[in-house]
Amino acid sequence: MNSSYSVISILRLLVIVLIMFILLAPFLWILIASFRPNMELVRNQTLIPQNITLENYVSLFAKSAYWKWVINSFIVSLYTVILSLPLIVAGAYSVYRTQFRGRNVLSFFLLSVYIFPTALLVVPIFKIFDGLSLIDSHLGCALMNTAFAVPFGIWLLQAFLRSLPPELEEAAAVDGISKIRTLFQIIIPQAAPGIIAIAMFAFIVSWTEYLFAMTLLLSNDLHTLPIGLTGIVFGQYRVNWGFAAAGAVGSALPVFILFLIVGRWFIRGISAGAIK
Amino acid sequence: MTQNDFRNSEARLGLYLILPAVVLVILVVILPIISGIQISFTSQRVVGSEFETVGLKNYLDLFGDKNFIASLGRSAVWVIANGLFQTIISLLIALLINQPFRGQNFVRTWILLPWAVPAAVTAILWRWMFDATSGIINTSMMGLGVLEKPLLFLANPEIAGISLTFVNSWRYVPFLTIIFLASLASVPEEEYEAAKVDGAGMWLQFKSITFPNLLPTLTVLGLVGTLWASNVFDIIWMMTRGGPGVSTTTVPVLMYDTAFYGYNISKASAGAIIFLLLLIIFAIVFIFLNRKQFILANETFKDLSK
Repeated sequence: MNSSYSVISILRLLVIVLIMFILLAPFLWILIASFRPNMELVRNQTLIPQNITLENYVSLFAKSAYWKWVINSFIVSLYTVILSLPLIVAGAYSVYRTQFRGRNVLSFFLLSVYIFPTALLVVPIFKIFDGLSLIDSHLGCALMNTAFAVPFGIWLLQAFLRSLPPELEEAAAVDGISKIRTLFQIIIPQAAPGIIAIAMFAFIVSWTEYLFAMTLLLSNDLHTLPIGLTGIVFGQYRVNWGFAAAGAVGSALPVFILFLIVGRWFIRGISAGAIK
Repeated sequence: MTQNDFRNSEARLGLYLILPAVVLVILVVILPIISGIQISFTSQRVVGSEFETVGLKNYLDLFGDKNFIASLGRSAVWVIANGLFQTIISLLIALLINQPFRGQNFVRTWILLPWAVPAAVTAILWRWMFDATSGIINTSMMGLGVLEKPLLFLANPEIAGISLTFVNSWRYVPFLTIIFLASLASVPEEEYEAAKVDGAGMWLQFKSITFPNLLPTLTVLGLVGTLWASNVFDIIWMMTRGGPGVSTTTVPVLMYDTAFYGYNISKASAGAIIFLLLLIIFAIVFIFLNRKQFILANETFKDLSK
C-alpha cells in the first residue's frame, strides 16, 4: 500500500516537472539564444552555445527604438492601471456590499464585454476615436485596455472581498459609520493584497496588448513594445533570430521582475486568498 | 433615519459606484456596435470616405461568399478545439498540483508566466521553436532520427491549425489552471474527511465530491473560454496571418484583413455583426441548457455575500 502510494506520487511529480518544462523551457531557450551570434542560430545548434556575444543586445538597446517602445508601453500601462483601479474597487464594492435593484443585471452586463471579439470592434472604434481625436493617442489605447480589464477585475476583486472576515465591517455598521467611509477606512486597507493583484492584472493586460495598439497607434514614435518589436522582427523576409530573441527577453523581463517581486501576492489575490 | 431611507441611500451609493464602469463599457463596446451596425448597411470603404446606404447588400454578399462561410467553419473548429482542449487540460493540471508537494509554491506562481508575457513574445518564441532549419524541435527530432525531414509546423496547411491551437493553449491553460485551483480550494475539507472515513477511493472522491463542487466553475469557464477562444486574433495574426493560404483564417482574422487591408470596412462590419449574432445565440443556448449550474454559481455567491 505504502510503496504503491509513493510510486504514484513520484509519477505525479514527474508529470508536473514535464508540464513546467513545456511551459518554461522556451523562455530559457530564448534566453540562451539571445546571447548567441546570429550565424550560430541559423545553422544547427548545439545545446550549449559555442560563442557568447552581446551583439543582439547591442542592436536592440543601441540600434533599435527599444527604449522608446518601453517608455510608450509603460505610459499606456500606467494610464490603464490608474484608470482601472478606481473603477474596479468601486465596482467590486458595489456588487459585493450594496443592495440595489438591477445590481445583478449590471454586473452581468459588464462581463458581457467578453462576448464581443475585439478584432471586430476595432473598425467602429477607429471611426469613433477618429472623431474624438483619440487615434494616435496613448490615452485612447489605455481606455480600450481599461474597458477590457475592468469587468474581469471586478469579478476577481469581489471574490477576494468575499474572503475577508466580515467582523470589522459589521462593527462599523453597528457604530453607524457610513458605507462610503467603511469602503475607504476598512475595506480598502483590508483588501490591499487583492488590490495589488488587480493592479498587476491591469498592468499585464496592457503590457501584453497587441491589437488596439497596432490599430490605434499609427505613428512610429508612439508604438508600444509588442508593435515596434514585431514590426522589425516579422517585417523582414528572413527573420534575424538573434535580435528577435533579445527583443523577446527585453519584453518579457519587466513581467518577470514583477512576478519575482509580487508574484505570490498575485496568485493569492486572484484565487481570493484560498491559496496561501 | 428610517430603515427605508437607509436602504435608499445604500442603493444610490451602489449604483453610483458601478456607474463609471458601466459608462466606460457603453462608450467603448456598445456604441461601437451600434456604429458597426450602421456602417454595415452602407458602402463605406475606409473611415472618412464617402458612402451611400445599400441596405442588406453586404450581408447578402457575405452569405454568397465562400471565403466567409469557410472562415465561419474554421472559427467553429478553432473554438471547439481550443475551448475543449484547454478546459480539460487545465482541470487535469489543477487536480494534479492541488495536493501539496515540494515546490508547490514555485509551480503555482511561475506556471502563469506564459500567460503574462506579451503575445508578441509568444509569437517570436514559437515561430523560432517551430522553425524548419534552426528550430529546436525540428533539429532535435531529426538529430534523434525521429524525423527524416523537418515538419513545417506553420507552413503546412494541414498542421498549421494544430500548431496554433497548441501555442494558444500554452498561453491560456496556465490562467485557467489557476482559476480551477482557486475553486478546488473552496471545496469543504470535511466532505473529503467523511468520504475517507467511508473508505471511498480517489476516483469515487472525485466523482462524488470534487466534480459536483467544480461543476458551476466548469460551466462558467466553459462559456467564457469559448468566447475567449472565438476572440483570438493576435497569436494567429503574428504567427501565420491566417495562412498558409487561408488555412488558419478565422472570422476575426478575415474581417480585420477585409477592413484594414482590403479597404472594405462596411463588408467587414457586416461580417462582424453576423459573427456576433452567432456568438450571442450560442451564449443564450449555452446558458439556457446549463441554467441550473449558472443559478448555483450565482447562489453560492449570494450565500457568501450575505
